[in-house]
Amino acid sequence: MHDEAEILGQFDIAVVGGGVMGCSTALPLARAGHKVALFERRGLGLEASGRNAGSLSPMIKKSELVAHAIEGYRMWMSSKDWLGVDIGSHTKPGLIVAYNQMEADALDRLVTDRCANGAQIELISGKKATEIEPQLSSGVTLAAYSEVDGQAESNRTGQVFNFALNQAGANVFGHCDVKHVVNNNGNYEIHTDRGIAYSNKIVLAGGAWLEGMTSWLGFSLPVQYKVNQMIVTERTPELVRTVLGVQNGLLTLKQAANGTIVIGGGWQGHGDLENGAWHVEPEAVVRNLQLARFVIPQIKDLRVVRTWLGLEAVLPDYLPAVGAVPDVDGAYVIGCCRGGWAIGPCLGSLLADFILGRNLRLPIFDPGRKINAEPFAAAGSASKGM
Amino acid sequence: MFNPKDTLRIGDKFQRGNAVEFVFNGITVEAYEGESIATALLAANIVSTKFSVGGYPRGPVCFMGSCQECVVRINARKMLACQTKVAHGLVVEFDGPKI
Ligand SMILES: Cc1cc2nc3c(=O)[nH]c(=O)nc-3n(C[C@H](O)[C@H](O)[C@H](O)COP(=O)(O)OP(=O)(O)OC[C@H]3O[C@@H](n4cnc5c(N)ncnc54)[C@H](O)[C@@H]3O)c2cc1C
Ligand code: FES
Repeated sequence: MHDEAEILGQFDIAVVGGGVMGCSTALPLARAGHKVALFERRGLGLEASGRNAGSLSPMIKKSELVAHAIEGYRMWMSSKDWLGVDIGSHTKPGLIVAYNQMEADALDRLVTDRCANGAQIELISGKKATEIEPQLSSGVTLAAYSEVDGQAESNRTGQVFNFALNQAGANVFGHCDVKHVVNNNGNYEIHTDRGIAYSNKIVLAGGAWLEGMTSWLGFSLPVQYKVNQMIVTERTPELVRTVLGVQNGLLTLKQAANGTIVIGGGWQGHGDLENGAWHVEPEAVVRNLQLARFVIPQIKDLRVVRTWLGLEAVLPDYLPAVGAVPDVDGAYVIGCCRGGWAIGPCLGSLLADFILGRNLRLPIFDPGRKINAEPFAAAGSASKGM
Repeated sequence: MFNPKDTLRIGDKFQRGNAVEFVFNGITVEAYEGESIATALLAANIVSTKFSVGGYPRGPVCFMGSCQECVVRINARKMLACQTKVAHGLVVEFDGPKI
């Protein structure tokens, strides 16, 4: 396209990928007075960060991430304070229900572990759970209840970050595909379909596409991705009051502020890195809805208005990568966090602190660590291979 | 009872199907075979066919299956009034929160 590549500028820090991770890292860096460029192939927040379910749920995060999740929850609940614009967030209690002894035992273990890591969760009886969530089907034996939960309108991620990044003076290059990056001894050449930019430091925040990005720098982060599917129903008067889940992880359900019911649970559709998430698996929609009806019987009366999907990046150990690219100066990675939309603002601000050499209030997650597959794959993966 | 002759239908240049009667919320409505429920209701001056989640009256807007504002209940199922044909003896109820 360009005979002679256009020069897009010289920057202090370049961030590649405009999801919640890239945007949350770029924002504090720009505010600290650095010349920041953010490159996004499509528009800000159009991939996982704009397609997720917007659940904040610190109680279902891995124990290593409970503190980060609580901070992320607080940040989304007060988004106006740090973004300058309110994304639309709603506090509601979180409830995870168990229907048999095995699930109850697992829930008991989860609550004990998460509470030891700072979560505020209570185990309650099935009867108590029905008082909190009156439409719940009978048969709940045990439930975990937390007041630290809620949901936010994650489809507005791009919009709110666009506003905040512009206010902070960051240079946002939308519809700008980074093809590769060359490390020229401390000055990175960023080759895009719109020209070349130069930067002293680089942050890779490519979500599901992160492995390819790290390979530009001779590193290979073993990124896996899931093709998560979501369902939304028509509007209905108040039916569900909590951010509701079942212990086996195959159902998450909540009612949005506009009255629609958003249903998910890690059910898998079809997609790949080349084409993105592109095909809903009808069988998985049906099974997800059957489970939703089992838990909240009145859902049978609602029509589905839309289904959609997105790529969620994970690492085999289900912990994120936030930190320096091993053995490469001035290069950083952020991503692969389960429940990463909720935790993203916290991780981004931690990585910004790390890049700026500030003290870290919470641990980050070395991308160069030895990443072993987790022996007990997370519950959602039971639905994999649908 | 609504008389289709006193309604919004255009004159007699048009070849209509047989006259039928159906019931909407206890009101008997006259219509012609081949018409959609939404059209027949409009011709009978019934413009509000449901209540929104917020409790406001709603009714058919697009008449082509897109806006979803014409949802009614037929045999307890939610159906689009604009995409469902009238039939003699059909019982149609409005949808939405009871207010
Ligand atoms: C359906 C679904 C439901 C989910 N539900 C929840 C939930 O309820 N709560 C929760 O906390 N988390 C949830 N998640 C997870 C969460 O969405 C992700 O963890 C998070 O959004 C990841 O953010 P990210 O910035 O790393 O990735 P992304 O948002 O995918 O951003 C990566 C960006 O990089 C860009 N990019 C890629 N390659 C290039 C390139 N070469 N040049 C320029 N740009 C490039 C992409 O276009 C994309 O915008 C869900 C995920 C999915 C898919
Ligand atoms: S009138 Fe719009 S869908 Fe029926």
